Amino acid sequence: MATDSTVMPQPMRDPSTELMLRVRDGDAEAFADLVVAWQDRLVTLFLHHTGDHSTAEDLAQEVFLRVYRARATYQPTAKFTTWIHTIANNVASDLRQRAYRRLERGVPATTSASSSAIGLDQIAVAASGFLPTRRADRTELQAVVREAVAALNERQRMAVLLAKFEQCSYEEIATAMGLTVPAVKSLLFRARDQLRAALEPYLQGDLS
Amino acid sequence: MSDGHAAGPSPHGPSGDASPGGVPASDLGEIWGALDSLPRASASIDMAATTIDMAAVATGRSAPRASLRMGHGRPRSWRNWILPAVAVAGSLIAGIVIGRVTVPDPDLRILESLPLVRHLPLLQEAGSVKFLQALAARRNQQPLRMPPEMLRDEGQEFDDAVADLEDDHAWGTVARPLIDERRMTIAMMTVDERDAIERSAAEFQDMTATERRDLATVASALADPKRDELRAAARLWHLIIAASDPPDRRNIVQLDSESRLEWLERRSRFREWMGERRGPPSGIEGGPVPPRVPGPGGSPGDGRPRWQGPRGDSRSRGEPGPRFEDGPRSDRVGPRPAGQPPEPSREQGSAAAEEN
Repeated sequence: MATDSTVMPQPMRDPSTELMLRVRDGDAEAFADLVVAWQDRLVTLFLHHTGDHSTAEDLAQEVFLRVYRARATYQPTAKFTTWIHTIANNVASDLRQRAYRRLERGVPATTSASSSAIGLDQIAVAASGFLPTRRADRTELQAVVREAVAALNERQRMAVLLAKFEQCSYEEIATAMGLTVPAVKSLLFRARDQLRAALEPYLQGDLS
Repeated sequence: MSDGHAAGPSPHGPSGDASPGGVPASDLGEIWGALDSLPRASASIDMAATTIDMAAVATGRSAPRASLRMGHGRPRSWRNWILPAVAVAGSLIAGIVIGRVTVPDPDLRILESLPLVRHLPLLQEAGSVKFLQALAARRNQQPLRMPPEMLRDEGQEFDDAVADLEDDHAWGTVARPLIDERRMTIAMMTVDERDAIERSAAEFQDMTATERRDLATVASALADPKRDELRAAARLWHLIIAASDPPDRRNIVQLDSESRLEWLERRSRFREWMGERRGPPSGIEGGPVPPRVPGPGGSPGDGRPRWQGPRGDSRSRGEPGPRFEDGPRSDRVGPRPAGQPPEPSREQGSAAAEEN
């Protein structure tokens, strides 16, 4: 009978999967290595998802805690990256639900990308003020891109961030977000349209 | 999907197809490139340590649950009896861990962060990495006019502190042998050194977690031999602070990064203005002692040069001028020295201060 560790063929295993298998077997050092290997990636993902570094770190910690709590049940049937992205998406969803509950109770939400007051229309109008079109410098572009990403809805934003920062494929994003591949494509398509509308005046030099 | 951090271009290339296994780069089109402008973030220095600690506590508090969408495991028979045993053992461990967390050993915390505690004044003085970066990038630094021996002593003090941070670059959660070693170090300190540590420790204990984390970030930057530019900036700033009037130092150190830079800018302008009036300074070190100008609190000096050590000690030169410790220092006795520029208003929050 095949053991758990032979579910995924040896060559397919990525280093994080190896670490996670060691974590599952009770290796505390492997968990530390896993945290170190993944913390910057998760903080980056959540930073651009929430717009706040402290919140991003809190969420990243929550992901690690869930990974640790679920370590005994981990099965290397898929890449560890996909598994942790799934957890990250769940943590982000929980944050959104908590924010909704706060809104229902009339408690203002904390500063986050999702609560950004700047909509795409405003960004586009602001950008048109700089016409004739010119190439924005990097700092300014960064701020504009951040606002544009913040103005996407939560799922679009997560899909874009997973695609861009984690280089996930459609299939991986779909698995992580519990969607179908066509749904992910649709999400990204709409996200691209919205981002393009917001950023086109800034990027026209690059687009041409 | 790459397992390494996605810091560069997509390993799949920009021309990913639209197949289910493909990458969305092509679908995102030109937006893909624009997203490159978003910065990659770094976790704070103690995040890994606190995460591991939290996981240890969480383990004791509850048994792992398979509540995630992936990674479902089939319960095995041995779990039927092992889980209660683990729960009992976990409860014992949790009791110890939670007891340790809820009733923290203050000595242990200090020992774990001893390098930060030892060099607390220096680290508070350095402020933040952001400030040091801005200072390093700043042009038109004014020369430091201070006695050569003071310049040497203060520089040496800074260098020693940085070397100490580099040698003992471990804080947060550190290994037991190192804790014991630090305990020995403290035991061998003189009474004065121990008093200084105790004062710093009390201040360190009162700091918030965020403040302690910021402090650790600055310490890590200074302890990193690859970040010469930050060390040089922190050294310069240390000398500027050391050369400022003792009553002004605390006010300067308490300024935020922006105000510090503004203060430096005002100081530079003032020095340039003085240079125009007096001609070029006679030397970078040990130059003429110009009159006092207000510190960042807007408090003017007494109009006389005054040399005091960086800790307000008795390293003084010449006759000290009258001190107005009991009242606002703007209650100057006597007229403003002729030709001295007008003092910035108190509301501005910062003002030029003379190093000497």
